[in-house]
Amino acid sequence: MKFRQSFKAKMVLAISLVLALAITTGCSKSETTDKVLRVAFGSGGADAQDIWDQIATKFKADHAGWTVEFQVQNDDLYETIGLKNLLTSGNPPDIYFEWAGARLVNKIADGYAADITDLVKNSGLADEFNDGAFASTTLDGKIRMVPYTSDVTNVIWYNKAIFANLGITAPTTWAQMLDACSKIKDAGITPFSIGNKDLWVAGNWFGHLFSRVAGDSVYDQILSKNKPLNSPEFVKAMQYVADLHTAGYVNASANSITDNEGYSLFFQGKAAMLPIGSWIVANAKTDAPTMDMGWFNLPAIDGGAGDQKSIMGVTTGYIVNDKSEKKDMAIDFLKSAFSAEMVATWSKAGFTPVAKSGDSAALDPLTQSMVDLLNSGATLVAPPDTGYDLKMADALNTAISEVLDGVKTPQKALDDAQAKVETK
Amino acid sequence: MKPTSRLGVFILVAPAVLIYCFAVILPFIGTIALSFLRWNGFGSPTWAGLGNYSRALSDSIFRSTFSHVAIYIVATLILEVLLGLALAGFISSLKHSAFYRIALFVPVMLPMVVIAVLWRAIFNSDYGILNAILASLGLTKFQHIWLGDTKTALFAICFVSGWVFSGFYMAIFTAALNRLPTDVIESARLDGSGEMSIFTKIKIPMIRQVTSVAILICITGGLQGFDLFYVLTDGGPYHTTEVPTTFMVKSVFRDGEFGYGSALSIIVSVAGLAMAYLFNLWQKRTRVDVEY
Amino acid sequence: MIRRRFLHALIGAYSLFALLPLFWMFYSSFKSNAEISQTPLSLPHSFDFRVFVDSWRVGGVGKYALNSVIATTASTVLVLVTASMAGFALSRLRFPGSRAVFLLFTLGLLLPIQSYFIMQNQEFDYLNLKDTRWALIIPYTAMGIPLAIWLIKSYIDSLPKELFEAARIDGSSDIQTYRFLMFPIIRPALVTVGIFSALGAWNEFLLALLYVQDESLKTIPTGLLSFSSKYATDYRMLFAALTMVTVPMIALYVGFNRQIVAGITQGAVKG
Repeated sequence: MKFRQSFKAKMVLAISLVLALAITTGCSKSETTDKVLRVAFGSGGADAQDIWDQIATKFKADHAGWTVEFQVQNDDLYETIGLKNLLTSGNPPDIYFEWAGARLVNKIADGYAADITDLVKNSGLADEFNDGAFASTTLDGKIRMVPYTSDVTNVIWYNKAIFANLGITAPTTWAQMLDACSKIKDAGITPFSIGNKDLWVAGNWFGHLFSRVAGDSVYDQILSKNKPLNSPEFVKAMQYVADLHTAGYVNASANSITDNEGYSLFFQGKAAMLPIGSWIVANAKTDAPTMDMGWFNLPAIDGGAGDQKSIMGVTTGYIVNDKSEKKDMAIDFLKSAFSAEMVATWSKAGFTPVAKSGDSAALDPLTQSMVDLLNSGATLVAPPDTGYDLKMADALNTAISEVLDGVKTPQKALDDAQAKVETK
Repeated sequence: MKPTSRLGVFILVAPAVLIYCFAVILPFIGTIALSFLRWNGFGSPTWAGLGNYSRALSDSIFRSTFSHVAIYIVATLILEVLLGLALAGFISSLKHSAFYRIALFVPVMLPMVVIAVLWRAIFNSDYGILNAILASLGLTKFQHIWLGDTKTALFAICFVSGWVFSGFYMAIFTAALNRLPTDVIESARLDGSGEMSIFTKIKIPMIRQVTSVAILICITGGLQGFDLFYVLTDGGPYHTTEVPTTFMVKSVFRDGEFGYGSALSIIVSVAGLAMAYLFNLWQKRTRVDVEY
Repeated sequence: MIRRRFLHALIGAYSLFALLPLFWMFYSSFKSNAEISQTPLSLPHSFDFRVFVDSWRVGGVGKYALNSVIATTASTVLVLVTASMAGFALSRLRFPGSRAVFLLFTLGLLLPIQSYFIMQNQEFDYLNLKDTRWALIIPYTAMGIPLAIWLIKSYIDSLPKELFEAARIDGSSDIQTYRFLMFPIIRPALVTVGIFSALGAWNEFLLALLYVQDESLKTIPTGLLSFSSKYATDYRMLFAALTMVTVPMIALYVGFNRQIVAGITQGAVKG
């Protein structure tokens, strides 16, 4: 009897030790105390997390007994299935990050985006923003999202030293750009570098081109599935991609390397131009602090049907979950997140917040130029992946990568992409 | 024996059964059920019947994953099993072979992701060591964008796989060869047979059993391969290295098609089981004819 | 003699081929990024170990390693305890349903991970297990159990049954028999099972990728992957991180190579 008990006791001890180890060291997250505000977003790096932690600290100080829980995920996962999982999980977020456009519309339709018109106005949150800041997040007269940042997702960054050495100035037309490319290539430098392993990079760049050639309304119709992908307008636009391939103006490794590796080719001077968004300013600060870089918007295309000054960009923001019981607290949290003081902090870290800042000098000049570009009044075009249905974007972006490598003709690639969209 | 007490049996068996059923059996049944539904992860699922299955069979990308995985399996049968057998043959005929046995097995010990990240650095066409070696040998015309070129990407993955697992099969075969009774081999040697013919005519038939298990592991393991593909190419460029697992993970965790993904997973699992079963049948049938 | 030399040269070359990439990874972590990209083959000029400290602390390799140790240890201990108890009962005790239970576990030997991970993901999501340590410990334990039971049961089957009858006559209960008779004598089987499950848990990637997004809970495979995208072109850091996770494994392997090779090959062949 004695043996048996001591053995049982030991077993229980051993197992509970293992379990205790796991529980205490792994944050068990299923607290159901109702004084937790849950905020979900895709990881934006250590700097962003630092700022969020400051905001949470302030929020906790202002609201005794409340805590903030950040539900942070890898950004690619968050964009695809991660957010969906969070919203349907046992502890759904009260506030979550989202892109304006088709994705916001879907969230409203699915019942996950609260109408916060009155809350925004009465709480004083509206005062943190300029007039008209809520335009892209207001649908049918109801505010559905608090804007966080506006980002230009595609301009062409260039290495000023290389351009100066070769006597090139920033081109304004596509023909001038091709001319510059040929000079750069003759000098033994790759004109463009992109890291397109995840497909969105080239999709973003050429999505902009497509909207210029086909016209922004046709672009919107096609990506919204109201017109087939292999419409002649897109086939024509895709020919520009094929021509870049034939001329050898894009790094041959494009489809095999990641976005960061693509940036790196540019930072190391192995490529002269990099078509990407405003966030590269932050990357450049750490990876190429001494590099002198400039930018020009995608050059005008002769005979293109769209606004030849159009800007590709997205507005992001935070949605208050319609299923949340803590909407007041959520708005209060967002108020502290976008106070003039915090906006200055966001700006200093290289973000481009929409809310007003108390300190306009905080912005990096390059980042400031991006903000000015956004406010220039040109047509705003949404990138395929964040602006439209993801499967649609995948089909188009795969077709672009095939043409970029020259394995398919524009017509064939788009025919195949259209077939893919139809069967799904 | 009869158990001394019912409670005793319960205490012994219940923990394993509970954990296993919770994390394997229940989800397995759930996945089968889900494969007959259409569900995007939101809201309530709708009945799809065999819709997901018929869609899978007509999905050209999914079908192509089987030819990619078939190429991979054939290549690894050569680069892993056959090479492993040859290495084992050589090694078991040497006296001082401890170093080789240890060295060749080292890659097997490392996480596949670590290996894949390392080889991605080797294959990188801009900074990678492989192109640099070719350049230093004056072989610039053999330089490639190894993982970005449809002609080389799949082969590069097979190559890495061979680099890892040839040592694994070598270990299996070495163990089998060392267990063989020495008398048969000695008498063959006395009859004047050469080492090569002893190896091919006597030793290999005697370890037939082990060989067939090795082939089976290679086939079923190949069908489940994920880590290397995910890290090295993630199915790219344009789905030319897409294998069933990477495609399945994309369908579920990128496109949010839970029902469809489940149907794919059931198809792949059944295909694996069927291959294992057929292989066993074939092996049983042929064994009689070959047995000495 | 010439033949033997030739064989040594041939296999020696192949062994070199197996080790060279690892050696290159190791010494490259002492070079600057510019040296790595311009002269990838050259040897380092000096040995500065600070890069290891950097990637261990700043890069978080230490954290990933600790998480891997916890997940691996917990799941291996659980596999050893639960499977040896069940394996003993299934081998030596006749109780109603014992065949059915054994068949259930045999099914687990056949089921590939793809056949259940989609719904397992939903289940864990629903129970809020994701992004906790349980998210990996539970499936790693569950996946290890079938093979462990099979190996342990066959081992016990091969022992003389008089051993157990004698214990019974001495008045020992089943649980006492398990504890005082079984546990010591099945040690060889436990070593095989332990090595096999520990390595499986240590190297597992797919589930870790799907169930753990929290940086502070990531294990070596997923942690290293996010490390490699964070430091995509900082090869020095990357190689230092890779070196730090491979060297202990290699050291462990060189020390216990007999047991490890036997454990892995037996586990694979019998599974």
